[in-house]
Amino acid sequence: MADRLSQLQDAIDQMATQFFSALRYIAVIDDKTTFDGTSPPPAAKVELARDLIFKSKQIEFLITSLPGIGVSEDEQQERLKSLETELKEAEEERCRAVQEREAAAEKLDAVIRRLRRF
Amino acid sequence: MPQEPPPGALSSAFPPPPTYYTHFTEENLTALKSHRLEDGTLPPDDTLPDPLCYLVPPPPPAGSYRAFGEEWMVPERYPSLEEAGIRQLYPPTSMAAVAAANGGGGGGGADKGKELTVDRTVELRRLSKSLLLNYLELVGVMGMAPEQFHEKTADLETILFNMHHLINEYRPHQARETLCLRMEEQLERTRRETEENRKAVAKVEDILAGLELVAKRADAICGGDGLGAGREKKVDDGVAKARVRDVEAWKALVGMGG
Repeated sequence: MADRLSQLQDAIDQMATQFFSALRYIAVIDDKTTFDGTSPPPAAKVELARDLIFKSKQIEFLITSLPGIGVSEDEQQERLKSLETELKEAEEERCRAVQEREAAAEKLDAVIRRLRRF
Repeated sequence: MPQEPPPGALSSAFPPPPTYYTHFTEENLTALKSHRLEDGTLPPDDTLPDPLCYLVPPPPPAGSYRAFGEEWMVPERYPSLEEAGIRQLYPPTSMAAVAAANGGGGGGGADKGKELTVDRTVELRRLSKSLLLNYLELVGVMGMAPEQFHEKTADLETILFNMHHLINEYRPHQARETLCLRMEEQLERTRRETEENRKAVAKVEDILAGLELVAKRADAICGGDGLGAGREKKVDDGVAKARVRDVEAWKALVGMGG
């Protein structure tokens, strides 16, 4: 799945395409009856209008769910820096743990070898 | 000076290799070494004889350069809408844009390119609303005077450009956000690995301690090493002790859950 920003841009492009398709439908395919406001509009037109509104709502939803909205660049930089130091510490800790594990494995190995000789 | 590249060599998507690459021969490179100044740097290329001057890298470009058929800015930044000749419908989003709008251009220094806290959500929403509204107006115009559609389509175009531009400007922000998430994930992974290693160590220590206990217990059961007994007896003792020890060890291992 594309990231949010690309999704949003795709939605906007789709909306523009819908604009065109709707106008073209009315110009080429529609029966050109005038809509006087008393009789209900044709179903196809209602559908076109509804699709446009749907797309618009979708765009709005995507806008509100943009990642990290309301976080300033400075805050991000700070978070990145603290994450970096944390990562370094965690990595050192991990290396120590791996060494400990290897030492333990060696000890176990030695014991097993001694048992075999017995 | 290096000769001009053939037209289209720099603007095509996959340009041919630069014309001067044939000059990078073994002899030329050795010859160039003898031209090096005392501090190891190369002299300016216009003081060198003909083929050698092509080997000196040119100074880094200033302003902009072309690569893969596109124009790139130095330092890299996203060209503003105004530069592309499109009216910007939202307030400036960065210090650089403010400076450009004020006609200052220079100055700003460290603050340049820093994002202002323009609420992109609000601006994007506004733009999406006016997009729909403008379309409605366009439909109206098409109903009344279809030949006057230019104005409205131009407006729609401007709004669409603005939305895309606003979103693209947001990309570095999203990139940082994604980086944060990835780093958090990695931190989590590293910590988990540390913990699992520690657990494994603890388990091994447990088993070893258990085995030591078993050995002591087996010694206690068999009672010493068969001191003072005959040779035969000693061997028997050894075997019996081994057997007891094995049984105890298995018990201990099973008790620990393998």
